[in-house]
Amino acid sequence: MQLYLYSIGISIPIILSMVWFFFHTIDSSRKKRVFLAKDSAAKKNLIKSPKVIKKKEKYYQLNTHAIKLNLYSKSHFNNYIVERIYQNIIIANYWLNEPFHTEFVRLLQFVGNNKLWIKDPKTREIIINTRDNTEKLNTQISMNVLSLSEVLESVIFEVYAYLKHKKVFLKSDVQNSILSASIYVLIEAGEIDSVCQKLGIFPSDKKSLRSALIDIIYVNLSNKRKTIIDENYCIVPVPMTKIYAEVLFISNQYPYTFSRENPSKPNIKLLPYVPEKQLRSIV
Amino acid sequence: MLDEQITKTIPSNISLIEIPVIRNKKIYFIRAKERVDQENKNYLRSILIMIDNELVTTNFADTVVFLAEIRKFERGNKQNYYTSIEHHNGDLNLKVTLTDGYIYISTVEALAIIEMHKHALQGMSLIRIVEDELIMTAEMIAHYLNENQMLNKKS
Repeated sequence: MQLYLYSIGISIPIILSMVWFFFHTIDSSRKKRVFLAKDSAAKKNLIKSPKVIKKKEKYYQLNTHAIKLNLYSKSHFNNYIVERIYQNIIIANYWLNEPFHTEFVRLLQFVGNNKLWIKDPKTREIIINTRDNTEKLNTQISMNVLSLSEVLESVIFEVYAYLKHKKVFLKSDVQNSILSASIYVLIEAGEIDSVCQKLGIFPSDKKSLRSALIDIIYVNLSNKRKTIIDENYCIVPVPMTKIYAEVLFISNQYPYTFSRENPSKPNIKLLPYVPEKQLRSIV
Repeated sequence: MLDEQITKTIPSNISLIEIPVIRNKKIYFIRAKERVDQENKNYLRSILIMIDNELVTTNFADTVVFLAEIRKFERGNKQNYYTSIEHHNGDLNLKVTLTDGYIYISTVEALAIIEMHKHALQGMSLIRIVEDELIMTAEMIAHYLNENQMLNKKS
């Protein structure tokens, strides 16, 4: 009996304390919720400092590939000097406008394919009588000549430098005077007669030869532009005779011989078909 | 073809020297001299004759024939290749035909040419001229003429 009463006496305070604890926790959680609600409202009213958003860095590939332009292939020129003119005049200035680009390339190809020469003004013609293997006498003429492609290169650069010095910056003006200067040089070639025969021109004098060559080489130009080139018209007149004489004085001389009795006709190639352009990088 | 092969191997130690013979008529000898530095010696490789702007002979044998025709020129001969005799005001004159035109040589000038030829051979070794003559093509001659500034206009 004693034990029974003892167990009841212990269990009652335990139950009471548990009930108290239960009610206390509910009350405290309610109080806490109210406090938190108040706190969040206060926080909303505060001015927020801007947050730094850390994004993952993106790496873009650098644009390092070479720029490609619509150009003519180097292999069509057959002459490193002509190739150099193309590099320094057309590519360096980005003169890719048509029809100038194609017409100038046609002229360069004509000069590069045919090894033309100009008689040196300081030279002396010496006739040489030699014997060949069969003891037959051959009469040959020797003289100093200048390479036409070298003269053409220097004349074009001189004209370009002159116009730059005189502050002529209009593209069409400079291009016209360059085209005109190159025809001026081409007429002075030593083999111009056989060139004319091959091209089927029979000019009476230098002026008609000049216009005929312009008609044949610069095919796609307009008639108005052809007359401008023929007369070498520019805002600042270009002193062609002076420039040409200066260039002849500087350029290299080469000894040259050709047969007098039956001059072998030089292998003049007709104006070749200008090939298609291709995308080419300039580096 | 042969010309091309020879011009590829043009010997560089050879120089052409102009020896004036008769200045009034523009007659010159041209001596092809070979300089051998190892032996410190000069060899004569060829003698050419130039009249005005024309190289009349371009090998030694032709030069000898030309000089022989001059030496015996009073007799004359229809077989003579370079010269012929012409009488003018009672004088005998030797007519040398060139590719463009001709010139006349008097007896005294003929003597002078032969005299000058003797001098032209002096001071050089003649061993190589007969057996080992330098056979020059037109391209080689033009190359040497250009090297020795003989293709420039005389001012």
